[in-house]
Amino acid sequence: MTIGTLMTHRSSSAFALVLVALGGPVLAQDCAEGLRAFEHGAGTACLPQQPSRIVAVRGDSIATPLLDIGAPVVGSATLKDAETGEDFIRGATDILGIRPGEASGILSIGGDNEPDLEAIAALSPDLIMLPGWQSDLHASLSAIAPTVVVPENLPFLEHLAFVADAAGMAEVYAEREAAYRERIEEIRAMLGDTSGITVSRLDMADGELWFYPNWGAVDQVIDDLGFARPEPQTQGPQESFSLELLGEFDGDLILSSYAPRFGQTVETLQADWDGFAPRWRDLAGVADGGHHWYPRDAWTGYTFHSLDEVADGLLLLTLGRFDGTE
Amino acid sequence: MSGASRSISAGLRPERLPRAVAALTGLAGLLLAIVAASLMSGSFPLDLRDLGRTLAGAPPSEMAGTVVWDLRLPRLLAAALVGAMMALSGAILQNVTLNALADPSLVGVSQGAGLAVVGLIVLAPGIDPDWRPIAALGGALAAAALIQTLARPDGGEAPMRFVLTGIGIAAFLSALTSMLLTYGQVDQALSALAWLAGSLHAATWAEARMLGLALLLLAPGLLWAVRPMTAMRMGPEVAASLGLHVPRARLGLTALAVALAAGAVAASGPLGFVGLVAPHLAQRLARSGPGLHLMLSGLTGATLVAGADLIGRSAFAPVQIPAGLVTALVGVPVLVLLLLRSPSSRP
Repeated sequence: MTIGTLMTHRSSSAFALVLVALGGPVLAQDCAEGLRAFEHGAGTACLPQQPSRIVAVRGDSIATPLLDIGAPVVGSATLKDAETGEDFIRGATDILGIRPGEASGILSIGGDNEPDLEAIAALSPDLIMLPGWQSDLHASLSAIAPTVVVPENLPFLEHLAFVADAAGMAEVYAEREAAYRERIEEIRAMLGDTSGITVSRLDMADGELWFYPNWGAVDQVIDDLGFARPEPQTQGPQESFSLELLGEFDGDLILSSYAPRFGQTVETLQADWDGFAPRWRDLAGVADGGHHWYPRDAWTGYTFHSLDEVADGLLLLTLGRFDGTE
Repeated sequence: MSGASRSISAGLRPERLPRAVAALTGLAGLLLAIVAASLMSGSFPLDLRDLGRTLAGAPPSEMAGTVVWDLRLPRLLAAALVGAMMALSGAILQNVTLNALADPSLVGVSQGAGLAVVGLIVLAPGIDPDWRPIAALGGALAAAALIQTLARPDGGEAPMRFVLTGIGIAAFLSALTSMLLTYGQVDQALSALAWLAGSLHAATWAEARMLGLALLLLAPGLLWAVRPMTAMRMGPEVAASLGLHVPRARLGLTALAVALAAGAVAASGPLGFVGLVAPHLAQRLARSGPGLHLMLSGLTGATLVAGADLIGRSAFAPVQIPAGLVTALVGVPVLVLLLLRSPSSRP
């Protein structure tokens, strides 16, 4: 990735161009022929132009978006299904139906938290990608193959772009993003002005509200369609809130997630919530029939498939329901 | 040298020497066996012949060389050194406090390091992870200094006050760490919890070198410690009557124990129970004077952690279990078993 790719402001881009002009040849000289210099969360690495054996040290945010655009992933961090004991890649298995194993050609390298470095080495990768919070593994993994640290907290589409670019698939990404943008414009044209409609994400567990900001596809689409958000959902990185703030999570449209993977159904969650926060049914959005449930892994997934599914879902849930969306 | 001083320096009844030497030899053999097993085992397939070629500098493939020299060896060395240092620290603390339950967490080392590293991960998430060992070392030393200061407000000497102050401050630091974990984002909390579990999966030659250097620098201190530990074993009054300056010896021994544990925790995160269990196992292998007891404890700790890391990384591969969890899962039942088998023995 060149320095300017991720910069959005004109002045930053100009500065980046100067840097590239001055530093580009130096970076190019640092890498052997056929390799390219790539800036990442822990410095610069020399990557193959077109990696053919990629290992992803995180399933949902790295392996899944790579598989979504057809990148050659040969190893991934996996999780174990509590009921069946089978390995799965969060996101890729749920959204794309890809399971790790001999059949898919994607082997497990262990769990998300502590990968098996030797299992990675045994796959002879030519590119390893790991999340920023595990950058303490960068030195060990770099001994095996060129290793890229994906920066933490990148905006959703920038994250997808970064991962695709490292995999040498920037062009595929650009095509998919253009198609998504086109779909968003179509939906916006159908919905009209959406800035007066408040869309809230409401999730509760263990006696408190929880809210992950920048939560995959669902948040990207809510923002791209121009919906308003409840005030607490526009502030900082806080992830848990007191139930006393339940009223502030009200909205015209309220979206709640359920995770079949963890044995959750709408019925079990509703029963839980009725137990520790029965007032949730008094929220105006709920009382007016604006409360809807969505499958968590599918709607928060790091894939264009998820973006399309959420966009279509929000269109169905809002078209004709609010003023100006007829 | 007076007769009393000679007895302090020796610290070992001649009739116990053969058993202690046998225990040392046995432990060294067990450690060597674990070293061999660790070098041969792993998810990367490598048979004995290829391992020999790799160690001789002619690996069958470039990746085989990387696996042995850059992954297995530094991790193994780091594991053994961390175990030895934690065990030595525990052995010294049990002697200083005359408390069989003393271990590095008593002087706040594990909790201080934990608070500093979790604080770094949660409050400065973008910072280079190379700062973690430095933060851990700083946190460990600061916590230990705080406990020392609070436990000796009038410069007095009271092991029980030291123990209770350590427990109180350690609980306070753990509460602050939990608060930070609650405040932090999920990924930060996961990263912090992985570190708190005590793991060697990210160990490189940098960690192995740092640990080796730390142990080398502290070796003269360990040699010095034998004499005051021998006297302290008999209680502070007897030690004082033998000419030992008890407050000064206690301070020096505690500082040595803190330095050993802080260095280990900085490299691996807090490895539970090693500092407590290893000296007890060593004591049950052979009753000996402090010098041999330190050697036995160090070897036991090295064997425990190297073995735990081998089990953790290969038993359910590719799933990896942090060495800290394995030491707790294996070490504690072994200790309880030994205690049950010898109910009358004093730790």
